[in-house]
Amino acid sequence: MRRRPMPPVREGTVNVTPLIDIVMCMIIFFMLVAKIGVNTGSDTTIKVPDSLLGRDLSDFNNTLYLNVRAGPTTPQGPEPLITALVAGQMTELHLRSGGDNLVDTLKYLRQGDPSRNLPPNANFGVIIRGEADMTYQYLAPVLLACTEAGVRNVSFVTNKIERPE
Amino acid sequence: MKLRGAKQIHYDAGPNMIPLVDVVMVILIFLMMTGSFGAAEHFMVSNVPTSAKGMGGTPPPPNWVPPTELSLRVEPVGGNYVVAVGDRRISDPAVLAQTLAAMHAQFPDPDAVQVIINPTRDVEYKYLIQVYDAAMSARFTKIGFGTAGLYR
Repeated sequence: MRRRPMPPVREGTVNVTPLIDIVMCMIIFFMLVAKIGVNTGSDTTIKVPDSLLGRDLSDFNNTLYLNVRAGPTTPQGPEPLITALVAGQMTELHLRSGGDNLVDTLKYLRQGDPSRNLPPNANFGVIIRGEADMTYQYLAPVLLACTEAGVRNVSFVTNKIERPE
Repeated sequence: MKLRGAKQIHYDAGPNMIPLVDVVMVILIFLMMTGSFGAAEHFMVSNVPTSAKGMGGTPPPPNWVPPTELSLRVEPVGGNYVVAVGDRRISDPAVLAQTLAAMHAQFPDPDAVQVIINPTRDVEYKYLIQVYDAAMSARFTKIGFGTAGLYR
């Protein structure tokens, strides 16, 4: 029987399909991890109003998200329901009654606390995520609290819409 | 006797589609993720503190010049709202934007003008954002809220 030699091995082009596959999977993985790790304290169940104009903010490090809804009417006046992510926990903030006070919290974050070595923060800002259907009587006390605490940077979250043609 | 194997029938299956389908599915998932995380929200930034009308308090410094204020009174009307600008009452956001743009052109230093939105207590927040939007489209840069109309 005549033995034939093995044919010579010729390397073809590199198959890049598995490379693309793995790279895309890694991109999706890091996108998911990055999004899951950042919690701004924003309550996505609140339906915000629509607006044509607005800015995109990318830096939320020096801000506090206030989720504001219409609340009960107390003998002292309308009391909005305010929640915020304070010290890593979602906290309900109050204007008048017991519990964590909104003005005190904003003052602490804006003006600092020398007893706790917390310096003043002139660039501290508040982002208000308000319910579209709530009336101004619930929003005004929140804005006044920001003014009382010395917070100058106040932003309002709105839903971006296109101009009708 | 020469044995011959059965002739192998070779069907031309064409190029291997499995890697193509694999990559297309991954790209599809990637685009779905980017679409869902795309920001459909934006922010209206205010740098004018809310003004609370009242008496007393700290007197202003000697050389303080009060800023030019343009006050917009907002009141609810039926299921809508009306904005009082000077002696005009406007309920259409497009007309409001045009009116404010015309006023913007008349100010000698429009960037120093503070637009103060003074709603009554029953105006819905979504209407206030429309008024804010109109002021922004008229290129006013200092827009804030007031409480002058709160207890009217």
